[in-house]
Amino acid sequence: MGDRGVRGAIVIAIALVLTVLSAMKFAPPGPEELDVYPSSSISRVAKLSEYNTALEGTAGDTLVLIYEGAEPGGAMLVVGGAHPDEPAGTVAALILAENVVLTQGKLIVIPYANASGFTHNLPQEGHPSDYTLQTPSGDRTIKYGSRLTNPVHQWPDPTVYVERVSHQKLAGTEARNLNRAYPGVEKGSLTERVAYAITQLIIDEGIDVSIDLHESSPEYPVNNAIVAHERAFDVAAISTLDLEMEGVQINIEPSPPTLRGLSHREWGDNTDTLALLLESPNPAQGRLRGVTDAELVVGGVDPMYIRASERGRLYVPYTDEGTPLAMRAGRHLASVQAIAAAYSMMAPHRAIDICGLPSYCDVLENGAGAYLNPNQ
Amino acid sequence: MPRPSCGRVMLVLAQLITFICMIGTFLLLAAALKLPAALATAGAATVGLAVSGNIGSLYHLIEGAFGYFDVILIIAMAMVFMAALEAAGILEEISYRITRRLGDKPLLLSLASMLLVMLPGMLTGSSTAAAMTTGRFVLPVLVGAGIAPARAGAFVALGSIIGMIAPPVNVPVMIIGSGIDMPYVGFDLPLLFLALPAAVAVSIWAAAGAKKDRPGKKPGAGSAPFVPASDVERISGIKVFIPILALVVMMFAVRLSNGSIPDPGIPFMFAVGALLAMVCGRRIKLWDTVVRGIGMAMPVMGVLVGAGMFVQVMTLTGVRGLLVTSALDIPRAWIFVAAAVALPVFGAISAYASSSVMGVPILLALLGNNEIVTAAALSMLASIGDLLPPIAIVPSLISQSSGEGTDYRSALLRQATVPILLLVLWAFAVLKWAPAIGKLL
Repeated sequence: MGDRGVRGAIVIAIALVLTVLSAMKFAPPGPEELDVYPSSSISRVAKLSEYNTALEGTAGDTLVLIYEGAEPGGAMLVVGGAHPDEPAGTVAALILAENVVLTQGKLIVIPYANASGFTHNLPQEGHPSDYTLQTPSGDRTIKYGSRLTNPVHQWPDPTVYVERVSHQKLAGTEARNLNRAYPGVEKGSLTERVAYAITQLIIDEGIDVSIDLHESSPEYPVNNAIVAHERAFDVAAISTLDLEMEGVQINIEPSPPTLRGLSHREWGDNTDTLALLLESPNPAQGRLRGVTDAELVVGGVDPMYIRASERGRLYVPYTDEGTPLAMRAGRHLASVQAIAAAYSMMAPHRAIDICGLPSYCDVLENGAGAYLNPNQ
Repeated sequence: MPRPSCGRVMLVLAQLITFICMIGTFLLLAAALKLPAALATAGAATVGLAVSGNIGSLYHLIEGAFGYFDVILIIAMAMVFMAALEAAGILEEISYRITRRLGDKPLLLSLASMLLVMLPGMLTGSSTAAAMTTGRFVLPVLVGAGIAPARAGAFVALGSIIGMIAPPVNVPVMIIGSGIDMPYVGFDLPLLFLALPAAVAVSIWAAAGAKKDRPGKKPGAGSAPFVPASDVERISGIKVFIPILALVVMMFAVRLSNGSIPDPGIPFMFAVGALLAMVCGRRIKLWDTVVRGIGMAMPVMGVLVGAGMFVQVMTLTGVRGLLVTSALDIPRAWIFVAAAVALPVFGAISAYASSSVMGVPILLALLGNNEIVTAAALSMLASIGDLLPPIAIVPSLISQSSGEGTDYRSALLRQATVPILLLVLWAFAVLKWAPAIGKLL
């Protein structure tokens, strides 16, 4: 072997070592890392694949927590983690699942809706792979993922993603966005299968009210908001009265009929449920953010956003206090309770009575971690 | 634990120092030590990690490097396709035929060439696909028609960008739209309004060059380097067109099917094209062709890997946010100017990244300015970045595959300077007067 051959062999050996080390770091973790400790009100822990068998054994299968009250009533679905880089949705769903006491009706919680999305981060976003919250029983580390399904599980992307309902065209990567895939396809791509399973769950379980928990960047106009399908507008409007009394200012935004594939549009159009989506301001996913780390995810303070706010570039109030995770998750929790109460008032025979949850002020004061792991 | 507000100035200072160190390292490695741009950008990213105290998180370099993975695959297979066409003699045969037919009609030739160059970009939203397919075909044709190689290369590069902007598929607009939940609806006319005058103007500029660049010489009668040496080497019949036709048909079929035909991806289409070239032209050695194609693609692929690392570290350390916030930290009237500068400059790293990182906040800052026309104009500004150094991906690919020598890229960029500035001005004008244009359309 000549000099060139030796050099080539050395380069290939180094590349192999780097590949193996990288693969160890980036290999998708197993589903056991997505933990949840359901409250004592739990009736059944199911898997999403029960609603679409094409999901069985895939990275898209995820936990479905079903709570049933002693009294019959209506049914509510709360979905967190559709976008795993929007942590308030995940944390609010976890607090709900781990503390809820249900006296009437049925509640179904999916805390990690896009389980595959929790197994990676988007390149060039510099996001942390997890963040840690202090709980009464010690530190709890929660995965911080990507808004898209892991390409290890669904690849390649099409050049252009043609959404299935009205053939709307989106950038190819959006084919891995769960909240552009509804109502889903039974045997479609992994993301479409997950979307189909959730839509099917809404139909099979007779869900009256469905809430999708999200976040958006502070420079995004739809923020601190409830996005409501036209049939869900009344329940959204009544719930805002409760929220304002609790000190939570929130806007109601209509679900645009032309924007397809989103939960608030397709759940409402393809099932009988009242479809709503909640947004809170997350600086860690914005394009103006400064240093990107777990501290930003949890603390929510970013000097770049303070500067942008001072120049009037944001759609939400953003002061030196920032928008901490506790505040954002607290807003979602308060909104879920207010929506349940509003629906129960509008349809008393289908009431859903949710108790046992901390108030917005409690979460703000004690932090989100204070209400995690009570049953560990 | 929130960061203390008193540290705001220090944080900005730290970000500035990190950025200066990254740029300084890049210049030192690339200019002083003459290392390839790929190693220089990767080195700069590593220094950025170290200076910001993140050297323990080397995995960010790997994660960032995967940012352009799909683009890298397209480039790799596009180059293999080109190498196969060249080795099979298809490239020279088609060029010879077109030159014989249209070589003495420069304006007609350049208009037809522009349409050909734009077509793959219009169907895929990728300037790389345009430059490496029909773009690569028309390059020797234009040279044979009397246009100087540098100008012909500039024509292909500009045409590829205009094709990327033109409807029906404009990926930068889709990226900007997805950032504000704006559906890709109603963009056809604004994109055509942007692309059509640009395409005609660049065609006239190229045709004018045919006379200027070779005064006194009859166009089409030049000693084109691709003219086959003897009739024995000629490829007869229409089979010579099959690889490129197959590629265009695949792109069309996927686009027109509205999702009913699964999209196999552009790299796959190029691979099929390369295989067809093997049976439609002279016999070629598969392994040698693949090695040659990947060899041509390697410098550009390396730069994209390095650029991915660079952007990841910029985001992680807050440098990206500092740049975006600073670009927006001006009165609304000046945002148009900031867009005309920042989008192409950031696009020099990646047009798609620029659309997402700069395009979305600028569109948000310009809400009420007819968002559809504004997004279309922003997509043009971001796409122009594909022409600009340091990466200048489209000129680099044309240069790598043309065999014109090491100085060809610089000569091409010099030729393209004035048209690029005019394209920026055109996009700026559309951006500035977007509400009026929106009413007109």
